Amino acid sequence: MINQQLTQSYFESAQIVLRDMASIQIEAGGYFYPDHNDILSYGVASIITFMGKIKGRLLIDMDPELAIQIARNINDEEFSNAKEFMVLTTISEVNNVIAGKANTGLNNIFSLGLRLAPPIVFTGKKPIVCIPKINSESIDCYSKHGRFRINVAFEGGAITK
Amino acid sequence: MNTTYINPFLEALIKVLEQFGITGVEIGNMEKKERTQVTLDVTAIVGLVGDIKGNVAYSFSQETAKKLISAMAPGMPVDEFNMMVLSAIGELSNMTTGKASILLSDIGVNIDISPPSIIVAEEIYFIISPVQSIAININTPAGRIEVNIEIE
Repeated sequence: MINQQLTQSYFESAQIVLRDMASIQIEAGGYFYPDHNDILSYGVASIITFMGKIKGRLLIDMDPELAIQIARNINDEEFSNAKEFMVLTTISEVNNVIAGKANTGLNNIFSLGLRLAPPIVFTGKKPIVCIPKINSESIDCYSKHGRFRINVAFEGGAITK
Repeated sequence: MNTTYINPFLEALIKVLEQFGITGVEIGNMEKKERTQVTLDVTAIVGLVGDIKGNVAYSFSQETAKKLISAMAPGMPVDEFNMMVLSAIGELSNMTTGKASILLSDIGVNIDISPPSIIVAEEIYFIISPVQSIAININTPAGRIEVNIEIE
């Protein structure tokens, strides 16, 4: 099990960033749970990896309608398709801000020296994401505009409960 | 993008494939892409952090993935696309990027690599860079591998 302080940081960061940047409220539908299976994406997902004393990855995953609404609110522009370049790059940047904010907090507490790789964002026909051999936990969230999922993975058991 | 940073990834891929008996690998032209649409079903992505930052994505068809993994495990032909294949694809991309990081360190560029994330989807459309990436098609006897590299 991953230390709750780690996973909770990403959830809280996501809540704050989406509220402040996109005026969208997300609520947890439960708690973080171990999720070692393949993740069937809701439609639009972004992955950002980070490295320091430990290595890990943050995945945010959402319904296309929510991705469009986030892009609409941040850019003050109309979008009709989640595959539009501006929609995808906005989600990518949102993930960058979420991970950056959470990692800054974790670096201050645990001195992890986490540095971010650039985020990637993708969509496709029923995309499945897997990250073999790594501890991973998910939390299912919801918003007025659709489902939102956060998946946090850390290599090894460096900081586990 | 500086090709000094690209070539080690290609050299590493050739060396890793040769290690598993896959020879006769041909490297196609480099192509600049602003948006990455890959028609191949399986993509393994590895993040890079250090003196340079970026992502490298290796894409395969399911058939090519099975052939490559069969070559990695001689005597154990892989007929089914399953978790074992995904895990082995992750290992292949990890080995390749790890070897590339050693080749980069030989020229004074130090990087750390992330664990690979693997995405399986039909007609995957992804953006690994808000600016542009470089795509290279690698033709192997097992099939085509598309490598997309983005370095900030």
